[in-house]
Amino acid sequence: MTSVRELQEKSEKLRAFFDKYLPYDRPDPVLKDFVKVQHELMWGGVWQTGDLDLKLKSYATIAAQCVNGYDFGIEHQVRTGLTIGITPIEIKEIFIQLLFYAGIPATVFGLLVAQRVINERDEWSKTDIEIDWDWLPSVDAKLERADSFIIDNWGAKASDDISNSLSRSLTPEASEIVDAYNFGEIWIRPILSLKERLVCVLAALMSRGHWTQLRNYIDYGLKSGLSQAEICGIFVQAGWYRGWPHVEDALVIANEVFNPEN
Amino acid sequence: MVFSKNLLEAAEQLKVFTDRFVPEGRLTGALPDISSDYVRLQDEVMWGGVWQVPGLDITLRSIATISAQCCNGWGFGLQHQIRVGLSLGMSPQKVKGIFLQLMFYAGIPATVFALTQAQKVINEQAIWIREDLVPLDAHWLNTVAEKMFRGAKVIEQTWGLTAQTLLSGTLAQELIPEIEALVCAYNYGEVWDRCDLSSKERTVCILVALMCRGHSRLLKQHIQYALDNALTEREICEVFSQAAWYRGWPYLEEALSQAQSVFDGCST
Repeated sequence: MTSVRELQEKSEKLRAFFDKYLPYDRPDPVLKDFVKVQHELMWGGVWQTGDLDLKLKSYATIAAQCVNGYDFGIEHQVRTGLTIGITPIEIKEIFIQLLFYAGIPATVFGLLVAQRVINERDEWSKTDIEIDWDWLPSVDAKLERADSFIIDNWGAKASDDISNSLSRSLTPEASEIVDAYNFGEIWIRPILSLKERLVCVLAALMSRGHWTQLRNYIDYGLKSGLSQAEICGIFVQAGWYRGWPHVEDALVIANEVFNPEN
Repeated sequence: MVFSKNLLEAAEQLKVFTDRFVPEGRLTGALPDISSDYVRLQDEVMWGGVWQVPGLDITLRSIATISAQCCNGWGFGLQHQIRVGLSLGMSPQKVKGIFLQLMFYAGIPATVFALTQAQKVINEQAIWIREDLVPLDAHWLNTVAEKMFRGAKVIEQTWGLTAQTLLSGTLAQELIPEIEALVCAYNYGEVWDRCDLSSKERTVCILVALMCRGHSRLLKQHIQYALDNALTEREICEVFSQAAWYRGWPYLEEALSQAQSVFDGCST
């Protein structure tokens, strides 16, 4: 049985690590009962429970905060990510990955806040160097690469789902460009692993409540090396930062994907 | 075959035009230093791509984008898109009209905030300030009953009698009749009657707000109204793909499936 004392100790230890680079003293709690729950349940509990490793939890949290759009929240979680050892370039790639899933305004804002945090410490800004990505020259070439990426990783059905989507038939010009850049460029950039990218996307789709697409991406997640327990872990982690009812809804969908025969 | 450099050139051309009033050092000015790959994606896919796809007039694209940004609520995003709209030739009154229209669909806080951002941008240029001072010819009616009467006429003229029957018999009318009557009187009897936006432009605002907030059932209803009101199927789809870019691409599929079911005639 887990005691509250245990949760408090775990919380203390994790926070000592996470708050290492906090550039200000933690403000006095406005409501100490709120802080108590936050410490025991969040830092001592959610952050240290389940099969999802700490780095992936951080990715899920940053993605949820990007969707939320609170300045302070993004700042704090970007700093936590950097403290855990995620590099500045990896952090920025989260927002590039979310470009199509959370939209331009949310990701521009996320990037602006991320840069502010990266600039706080020399060791971070020193490693903040963009990769030299070799962009394919035409939309057709990108689409071709997109298709083989999708088939190789998620199979022929995924490829059908994506190329026969409603957007491809009703708004074909815009959607071809989007799919070409999304699956033909962003998804294959080496900065984040496929697994890490899926953590970001699953967290974003859940946070915005896109249940139909969440179903597809849970399947892609399973095919990209995420275990069922890890996928549930993403929802729990991101749900904590977005609102708990999202977890319930996401788990219903996950359960249907995990047990297709029922 | 479309090459990246075609998209980039198209983006450059459009941006020369839409960015000509951007003040030095605006907030997102730092973006190229933060992530040049991000800016590249934005330029090629967005400015060179989505914004210039045929099928929807660019002013309507701008109105769709401003409406999506209003629902988003980011200050710099709103400011930037309001500036783009003014640069495209929309009058300050028209831009403000968008938020008046959205009052009933995006709520007070989002639209109050958007109006304060709009004023900031309008005050940047002498010509916009001057245009902003030209009073709009609005005839406010004195009683709610008169507004209701005018509202009913607006509804009939815009969508025909079908919409009028649909709009009566809503749950709101049944459960909160007094408030619903007030909202209808002011929405259809006053806001819709103003000359700052055309009914086509108002329809774009509403479709976008309903999509961005995920109100699928209402969205379906308004897609039908939009078809009755001079928007083509193609235009409706393009409104969604434009706004989805500013809200998140997954919203598009959801909105298009509602559109598809209306187009296929299975709307009830």
